[in-house]
Amino acid sequence: MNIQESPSNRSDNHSADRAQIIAALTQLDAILPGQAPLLQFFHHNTLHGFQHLPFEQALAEFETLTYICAHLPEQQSRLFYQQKRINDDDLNTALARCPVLQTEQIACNLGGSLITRKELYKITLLFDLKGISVSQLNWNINELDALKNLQLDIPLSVREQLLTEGHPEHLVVKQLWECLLNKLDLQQAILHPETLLDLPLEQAEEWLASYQALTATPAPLAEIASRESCVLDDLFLQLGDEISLRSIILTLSGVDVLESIRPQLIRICAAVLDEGVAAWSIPERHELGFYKAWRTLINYDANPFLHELPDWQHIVNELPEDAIDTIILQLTQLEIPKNNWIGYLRRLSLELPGWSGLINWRQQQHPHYITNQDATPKLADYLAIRLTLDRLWLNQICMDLWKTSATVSALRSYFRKNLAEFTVRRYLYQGDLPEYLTQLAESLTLSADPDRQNRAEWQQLADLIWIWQCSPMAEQNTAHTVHNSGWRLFRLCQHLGLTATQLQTATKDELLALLNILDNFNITERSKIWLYAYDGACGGQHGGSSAD
Amino acid sequence: MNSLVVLIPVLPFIAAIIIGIGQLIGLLRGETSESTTAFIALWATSMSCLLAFTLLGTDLLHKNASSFLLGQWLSSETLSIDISFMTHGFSLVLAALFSLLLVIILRFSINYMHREIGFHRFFFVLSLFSSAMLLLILSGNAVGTFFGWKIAGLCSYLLILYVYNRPVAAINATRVFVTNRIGDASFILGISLSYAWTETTNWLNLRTAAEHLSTGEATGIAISFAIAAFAKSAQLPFTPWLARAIEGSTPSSTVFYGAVMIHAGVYLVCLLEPIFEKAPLAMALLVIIGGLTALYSYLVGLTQTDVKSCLAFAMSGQLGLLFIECGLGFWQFAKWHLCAHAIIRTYSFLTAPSLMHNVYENPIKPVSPVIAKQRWAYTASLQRFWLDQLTDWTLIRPIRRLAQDLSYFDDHVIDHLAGIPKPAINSISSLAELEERLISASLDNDNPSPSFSYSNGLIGKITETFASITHGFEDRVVLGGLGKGTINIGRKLGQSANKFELLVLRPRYLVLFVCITLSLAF
Repeated sequence: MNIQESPSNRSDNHSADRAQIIAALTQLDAILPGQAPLLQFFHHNTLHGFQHLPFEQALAEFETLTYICAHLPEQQSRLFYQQKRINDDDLNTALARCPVLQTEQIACNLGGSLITRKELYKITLLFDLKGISVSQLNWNINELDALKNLQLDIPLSVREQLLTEGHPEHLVVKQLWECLLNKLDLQQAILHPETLLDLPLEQAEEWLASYQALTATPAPLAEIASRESCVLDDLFLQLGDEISLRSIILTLSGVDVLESIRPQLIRICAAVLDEGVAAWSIPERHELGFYKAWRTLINYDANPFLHELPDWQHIVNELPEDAIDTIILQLTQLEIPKNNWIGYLRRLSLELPGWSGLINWRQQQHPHYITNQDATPKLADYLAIRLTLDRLWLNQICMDLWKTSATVSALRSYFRKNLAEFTVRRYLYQGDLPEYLTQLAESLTLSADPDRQNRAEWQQLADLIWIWQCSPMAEQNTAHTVHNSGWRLFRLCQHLGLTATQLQTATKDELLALLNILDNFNITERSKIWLYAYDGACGGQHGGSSAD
Repeated sequence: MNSLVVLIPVLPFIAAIIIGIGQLIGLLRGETSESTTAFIALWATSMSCLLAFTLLGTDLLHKNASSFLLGQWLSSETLSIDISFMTHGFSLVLAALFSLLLVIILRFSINYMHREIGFHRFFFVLSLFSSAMLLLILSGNAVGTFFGWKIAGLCSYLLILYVYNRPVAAINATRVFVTNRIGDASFILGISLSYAWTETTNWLNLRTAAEHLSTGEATGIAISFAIAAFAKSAQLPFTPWLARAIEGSTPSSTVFYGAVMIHAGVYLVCLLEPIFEKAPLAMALLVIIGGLTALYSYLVGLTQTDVKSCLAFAMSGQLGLLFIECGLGFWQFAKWHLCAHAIIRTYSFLTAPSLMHNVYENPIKPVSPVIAKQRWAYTASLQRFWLDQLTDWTLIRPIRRLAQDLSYFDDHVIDHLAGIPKPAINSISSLAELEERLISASLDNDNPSPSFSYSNGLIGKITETFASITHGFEDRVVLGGLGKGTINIGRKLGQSANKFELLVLRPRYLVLFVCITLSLAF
């Protein structure tokens, strides 16, 4: 039953929406960087909105919100170690500062060698012990002679320790590799992703059987296909707090709408915030303010026409006079769920944090800042413009590629009907596909035309992607494989100075437990240790318990 | 003495080779080698500068010949291209001035680029550019100049792309590179016409031969070189590349788009003064394009809010004025203007970062209120008259769509006609297919499918066979041939015909057909 909304109800709802958006924009002050005009600029704590939290928690929350890694890349920290800007003492002290890591505890006893957790931590801090892909394993074996020579990054003292028994190097390495594969019940098969192009029947049957056993379903492929539908729903559920519509379109088309609208946003923002470089300012910017000044200019802009933006005249003509009303209108038109509006606006403002930060600095932090012909820019103005430009350009991408408008329901319904296309596009733009599939997918996305029926071709390619997923080469099957656990332990044992002889008594569980310790000592933990070590090396004390 | 001219472009080239090899073999790497790289580049260019000034001095004392012939580069029937250099006149003045500016900018770069990841790469490209630019100016023939012209363009591309991991830098560099290729094509056409009508590519001979050219021939040669000059000096309709090119670092922007390379177009026009004098239409073209560019740059420059964009449009505006001067026949004035502009622009680019302090509390004088209120004019200026978008709309998008259509035609028609490789015999096309097959096989085993009919006895068997044959005929021929299949095929054919008609009527195909018809007609 349809319930007609009365005018007074509508007006109440509208007022509530406005209040909700105004409150949300005020809260943005906590997360936007304090970006002052260049002459006023001084160093500022970008985590000011998190300074009430303990340091690590503040960093973690900041990373979750902005996707900006707050730590130095591990590679850079390793470079500092090589340059002796961080030394072993710094690392030992840093490790000792974290009792949770239980550094002195014995991790295992292999052939009489007692290995402490600290040794494992230090190795994984200093050397890359990540799993690799099948192609990388092939490359290491065939081109870098990984099964004949010790790894190049093994320190000299450990190298001597490995060769004390007098055996030639290639024998030590070969025995170690074979012993590990034997212990881990792994078989080394020379695989190449392109063999999947013309998959032999026997091979297919074997993989299907093993995949059936692994997933415990009689029809794993049918299940993979149905799983795509859940992935699609999940993607749209993230809309708001985690991603914007731009990200969804980017995920499915590889086209970043920001590339098109960023130059326009920069031009208009710079024109509004200019303090005297340009001889010609926006007409009446002081009287009209940011949004209204832009709204009068867009009527003269030939960009929408020259870019052949669909429905642009209607979108421009229906722009309300008020920025908040425009935000409500565009969010409604894009069909962003009302519950996610606050998160969506936060996400949008963080996509170009410099401009949002600068406008926020003028609006909320320094409302009495005086400039010539001040347009008193507000975050609402900026976001209203951003949303309008988003809608104009996203519509174009969606029309060109899928003949739909850029609304949540239209996109969801299109991809529900075309799950194969969704699969191919998602995998392609994630960048996980092997080369032979990437080429096929790229060529299909280039040639696919909404006027032409390509459903069979999408389906065929999606099938090929599922074959690859079922094969031992796909990433999701890497937990216990030659190129993951096998390779990681192979490198770890070399760094620990362990030979095949010492591994004779080791069991599979003991070896996998070692990997488990390394996995728990993840990148967040390692970054923390590197930071403490760097702090120690710089002679500073990281005494503060909060993020300021 | 004249022979020293050879060393002017060669010394920076040697420096580029040394820096390049040093980098390749790992000798020049990191912060510690910065001083070595800088010393090599600066020393070589300083020596070139010294040589250029020495030759300029001897030229002012009238001791130089007009050119120096090193040898023959290549010959084919009547075509003979020499390796020769100009040792007299405006070329030498510019060589001295540009080499001096190059030395100043190189010295500035040493501090500016300190600790940059691409420090050595930067000095390699800058040395190569110095060599190419000095060759462009000093070469005695058009082919040598073109050689320098191309390498300078390549160096410009490499330095716009200095931060090559930024997608915007890659897009801008590619766009600038492709735009400049239009000018290159026109330059080659100019060389070809010169050779066809005067049988020489030597600049001095070409200037002398101008007297014997008809107005039409002179106009043809002059317009070809003028288009090349417009592209290189960022005149309309090529102006937008300049704003994209300033993506590079400040010293490279200074050297390419402030002091040196951007003036190459005007230099080329000055070099062909006698030919332009014989071609009134080409002179008029210089005035019109120069005038339009000056007006365009002035209007767009008014709304620019960042210092580099302001400088870019100031550059193209001044170059527009230079072309007007050439077109009006004020050649001497244009040459003086060019030299003065190169000097002043080097200063303004290198001091660009301090502009903010200069305009603080001292804003630039606003435009007249009558203009200031014109919203349409403001929008046009802010959007730079949509030149980039117009290029996309008229050229890039139609060509891209045409390419997509041709690729579709290739994949769906040509590949099928030519025969595409079949999968291996013992392979399957997908695991899903195998899975379905396995499941349906198990279903088949459980419930064997019923046959068309059951019967007992001879009469029964005959009747069954007859019924099966009739059924098969009806199923395969009557229903399959005339029923749904035919309708589907008919519908598909109709859709394809509609699509074909729609495609053919699109503007890109009409333009393509016109081009094909014209190329067949001529």
